[in-house]
Amino acid sequence: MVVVFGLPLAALLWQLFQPDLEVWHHLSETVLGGYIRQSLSLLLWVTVGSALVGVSSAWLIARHRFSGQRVFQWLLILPMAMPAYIVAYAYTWWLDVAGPVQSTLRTYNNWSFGDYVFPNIRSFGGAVLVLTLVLYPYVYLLARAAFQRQSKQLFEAHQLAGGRHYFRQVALPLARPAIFGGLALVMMETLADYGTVQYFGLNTLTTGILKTWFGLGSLAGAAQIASLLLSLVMVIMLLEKYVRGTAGYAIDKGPQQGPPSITLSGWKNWMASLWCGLVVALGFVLPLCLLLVMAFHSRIYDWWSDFINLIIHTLSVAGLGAVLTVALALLLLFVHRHTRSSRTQFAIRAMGLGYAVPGLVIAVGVTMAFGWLDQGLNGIISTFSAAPPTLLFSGGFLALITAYVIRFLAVAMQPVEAAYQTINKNLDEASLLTGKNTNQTFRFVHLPLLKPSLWTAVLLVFVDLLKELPATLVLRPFNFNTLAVKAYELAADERLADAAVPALCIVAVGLIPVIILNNKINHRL
Amino acid sequence: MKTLLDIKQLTFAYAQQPLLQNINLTIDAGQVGCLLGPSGCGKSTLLRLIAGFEQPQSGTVMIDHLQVTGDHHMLPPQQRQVGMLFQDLALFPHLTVQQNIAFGLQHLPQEQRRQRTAELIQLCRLQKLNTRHPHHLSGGQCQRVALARAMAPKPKLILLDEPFSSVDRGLQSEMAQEVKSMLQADGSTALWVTHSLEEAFAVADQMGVMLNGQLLQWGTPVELHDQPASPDVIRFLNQANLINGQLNPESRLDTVLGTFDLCNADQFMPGDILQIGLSKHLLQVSTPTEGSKAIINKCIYQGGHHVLTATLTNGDQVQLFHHQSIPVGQSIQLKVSNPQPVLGFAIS
Repeated sequence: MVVVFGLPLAALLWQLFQPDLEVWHHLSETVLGGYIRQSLSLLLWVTVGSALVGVSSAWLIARHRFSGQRVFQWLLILPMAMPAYIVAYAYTWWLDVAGPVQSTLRTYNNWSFGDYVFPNIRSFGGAVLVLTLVLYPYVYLLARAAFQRQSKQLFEAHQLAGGRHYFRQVALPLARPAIFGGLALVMMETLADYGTVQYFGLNTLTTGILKTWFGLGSLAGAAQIASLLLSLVMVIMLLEKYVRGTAGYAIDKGPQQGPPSITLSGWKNWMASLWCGLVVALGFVLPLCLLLVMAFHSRIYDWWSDFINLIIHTLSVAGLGAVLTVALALLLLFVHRHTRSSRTQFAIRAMGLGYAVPGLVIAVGVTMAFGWLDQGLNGIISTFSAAPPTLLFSGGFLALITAYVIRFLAVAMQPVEAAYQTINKNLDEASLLTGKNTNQTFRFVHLPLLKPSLWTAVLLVFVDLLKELPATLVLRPFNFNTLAVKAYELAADERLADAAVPALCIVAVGLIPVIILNNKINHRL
Repeated sequence: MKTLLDIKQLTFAYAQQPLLQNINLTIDAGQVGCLLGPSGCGKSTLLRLIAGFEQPQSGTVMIDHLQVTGDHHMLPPQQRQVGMLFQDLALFPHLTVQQNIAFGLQHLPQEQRRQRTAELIQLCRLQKLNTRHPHHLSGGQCQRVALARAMAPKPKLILLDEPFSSVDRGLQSEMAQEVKSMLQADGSTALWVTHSLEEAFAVADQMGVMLNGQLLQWGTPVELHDQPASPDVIRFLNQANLINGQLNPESRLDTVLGTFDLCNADQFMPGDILQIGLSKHLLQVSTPTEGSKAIINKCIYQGGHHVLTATLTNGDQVQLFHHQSIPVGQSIQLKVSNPQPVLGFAIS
């Protein structure tokens, strides 16, 4: 089972060490340099932006009191529910030449197009802005938790030693592993992004993969770029591990009372509120309002029945994917609990890495691996009968679902593994001694105890699948659409207002796990 | 009487570390066997071997004349008909008291299942708690539910792993006796592991002392007390002092604390160096004119009496009880009150 799911990634790694020199040569002479440059500079700027926004807001919330601080504490997480490409659509609709802002300016000032300078949102800067606005919550969440866990004694010791710059000297260095953890997630998401950069016309590695694949018709070339992207991701993961490893001393010893909060007053108070308010407004409230207005302008009633179909499609594929992913996670964990072997341990860790791999990379890997399987199968079939060749593996939902499982198994694994660890090993033995075998023990003891976490896992994966764009775009069977793909297609056709309707559905469902996540973090603190 | 549990030559090592060496013991049907030993001596490991959770390097385990662990085969735990009362009880948190007890009865027809559950609820006095979940019960109630669950399928053998280690010390022997009467009422055979002397003497029909993975002796409580197999058994059971001496030509043992009659003098030759155990209760502080000299080096008040540690003239240390405090460093005279014939052991 693990072999089947590991195959696509193995195929890419193989590709990495077995470069097809001709394709590689052509790519590197023409476009590859540009792809890499744009990807890396996007990575750099989004990382810097997320660090600034995330750490500053986390520090304000964790250690200060100001107007609205309690509300901002969770409002600041909400942009997580917004897929970046949807925010990109909303801002483009609003700020583009034909959008309400520029139209109003023109009408009011009696200008016409070309009379004034207006920054173009569909640009590199726009992409940095949009990605930063939706990705900073990763840094905010982890940094906030780190700041809040720092002990009061440490603060007092620093004061007694006559130190003045607590943030710079103590708080920030101690929170460094957490901040880097958040930034690593931001980097991975930035590298994985396809929807935003494609819409803004950037030439990054992800758009390069699709252009090479479908534009030049070269799967091998796409795979080359994908393996390059994969190695970038691996570098980031190693970097994060390195930073965390060397800073192991910063890990706390359970909940303690933190240093006292500083109450802000006067202009400082208003600046703090303004800053948090601005971030929340740009990252969540404004795009949401824009989507609502756009939806109001849309001609949804023209394709209402299509829309119902779309929802049914999306729910069924996301539901199936989520259930299968969680089932596989459960199976792996169950087998591991019984065998305790290093092999299952390795499988669990290896499958967990899928979450770091961009969806598009997984799509390329799955297509390649399943293509080989199909060729092999057809080879076998043709020696026995004259049946026409089939695309059993790569043709239908199998490829799509496999990609989903690889990408989101880690999401499913986390809550289930945590719950499994809380089940006392003696319960298994007590059950065995009453004559139940391992499977019965699973059914009568594990399953009832795991049920709540299984539902959480299904929900989390479900929402992630709902938002997933690039892998679905590439692997979906012919004429099969999900909400995310439909929004993408409508936006590509410049029907932004219509795209707002499926986008709103995605955002609405996406809010659920954010709320769950927030509750969990609050409970832990 | 029929032998129910028969363990022969059981040896178990984990990661090259020998945990159990050559264990031999038997328990008759309907009796409670008690394994006594300090924590880490391998008692719990032995239970896990009997239950089938671990596989020994060598030796056999027979339950009711059926070999469950042997040289080349291992019966899986679920087929051994063994019940277990875990140290942490391991009640199923998602099931009610009634469902916990009935958990092992699912193979029975409904009527029988209901009847057996009711029987155990009656026996373990859980009548009003039927529908509660474990987290709504007190520690003692949880204990009774765990016992009822272990007994429910009428296992051939019940294993109890330090069942009262978390119970207040004063209640241990009372609760132990209560559990024993429940076991007896159901006709169960049990192997009971504990580190509490009190608990062991309260319940054991057969008992044994384990130390460093070895079973030093296995027999009735009276046998262990009156005919200990080694000085370690004496030390563990009586918390006694061990004293060396030499056998004189009249076959009596000369020691620093005086001369003693031996009940097994015929096994030794005059001139042999032997060891005997002397209970703390037998040593007394005497008048300056009699006994032998010792120097106090510790005096600890233990409520009602003091425990003195004294160094004898040959350098050995002994402990004794005394009604009043004596300053450290003071020299005293010690004697043995009412000396009885004792068992001597050759020093190995």
